[in-house]
Amino acid sequence: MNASERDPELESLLAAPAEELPDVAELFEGVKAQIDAAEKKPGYAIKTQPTPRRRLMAFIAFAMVILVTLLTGRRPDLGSYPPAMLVLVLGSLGTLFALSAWTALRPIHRPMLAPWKLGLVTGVAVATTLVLALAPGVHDHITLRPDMPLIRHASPCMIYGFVFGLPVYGALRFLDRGSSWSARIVAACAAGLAGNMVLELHCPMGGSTHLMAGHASVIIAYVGGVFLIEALLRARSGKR
Amino acid sequence: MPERSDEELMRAYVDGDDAAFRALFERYGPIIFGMVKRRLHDDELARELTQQTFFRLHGARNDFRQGSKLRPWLLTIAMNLVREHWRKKKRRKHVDLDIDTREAPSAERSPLELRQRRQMLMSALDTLPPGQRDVIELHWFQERPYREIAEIVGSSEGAVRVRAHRAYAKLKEILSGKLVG
Repeated sequence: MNASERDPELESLLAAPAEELPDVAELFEGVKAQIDAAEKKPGYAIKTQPTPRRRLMAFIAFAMVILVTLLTGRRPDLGSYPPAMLVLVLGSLGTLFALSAWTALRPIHRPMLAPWKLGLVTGVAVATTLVLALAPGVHDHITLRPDMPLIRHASPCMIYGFVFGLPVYGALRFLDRGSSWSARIVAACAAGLAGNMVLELHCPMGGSTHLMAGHASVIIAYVGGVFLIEALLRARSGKR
Repeated sequence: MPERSDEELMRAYVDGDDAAFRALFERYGPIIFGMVKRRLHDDELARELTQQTFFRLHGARNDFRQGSKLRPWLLTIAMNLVREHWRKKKRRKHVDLDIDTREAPSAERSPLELRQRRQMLMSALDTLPPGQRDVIELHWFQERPYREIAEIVGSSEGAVRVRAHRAYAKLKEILSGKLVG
């Protein structure tokens, strides 16, 4: 039953004169032109793949990043890393990565992610990397500590993690069919989480200062960077 | 020959029948246009987002499966585009018009009266929070059932019913006041 509950007064109030209709043929020609132009672009056919296949492609990009790290930049003490801690750290980051990447490739015929859900995904991702960096017991087995200024020991790791996150971010953005702000934010989360996983497999240095400034900072850089770019773009469009 | 259903046309389009896409556009293009124009109060933007809706439908067609329903798809894509537009613009354009309500409307309305009435309704709709506004658009103008509206807006059926009830009550209060004067 209609929510107006067959209220004649309300139905009379809400009765709107018909809208003037556009020229449908002309509008359709515009759509066809957009489609024809898009189909000439090299990557468009990949974007139109079914969503499960797109998500698989994103996961393959992530797996390649991890594989390259293990083959070319594996930490020398990986053999002595307590298995339980390794599972805890990589399992936590990996689960959150999967959730973020899954959400970043959300089909466009689904409702846009509610702001509170977006905040929750982002908040949990950032908080988890911070907790893993700071929580006692998680990285206590690492004895190597930095003996140089913060910027010198943290920045190479931050750059390393950021660079290795770029293929993941790029893949998620390329595979996305829409261009919603929420998709960009969760893609940034996924890239930051991937960067943290890479660093966990690469960097033998411990100490909460190094882990915060050099590792956890990667996800903050990604998420903060997307927010900053969005704010600048909105400020620019507001001035026009 | 009986008219093909939305889903039959969509499946034909996914299988490569371009004429089916045109048929879908002719069927839903005006509906999407009207919906977007009611939200944005801008003819040019409504045309642009209508085209963008179908462009995105084309891009997402390989996700259309047996059992999928096309109308919720199209409405969700269009509403997402409208929301994204407002997010970029940061504020909503309000239509406000002081209308002389002292005279009762005659049975035959002039074009000016019709336009004023439409703008009065749009102004009243603009006072609703976005969640209620979406529900009224889908329930009143698109005549969708609550279950489908819940799917489109990403909420529970119960929450949608509550929003509808509150929205209709507020609209009745506003529009009754405007017409009585």
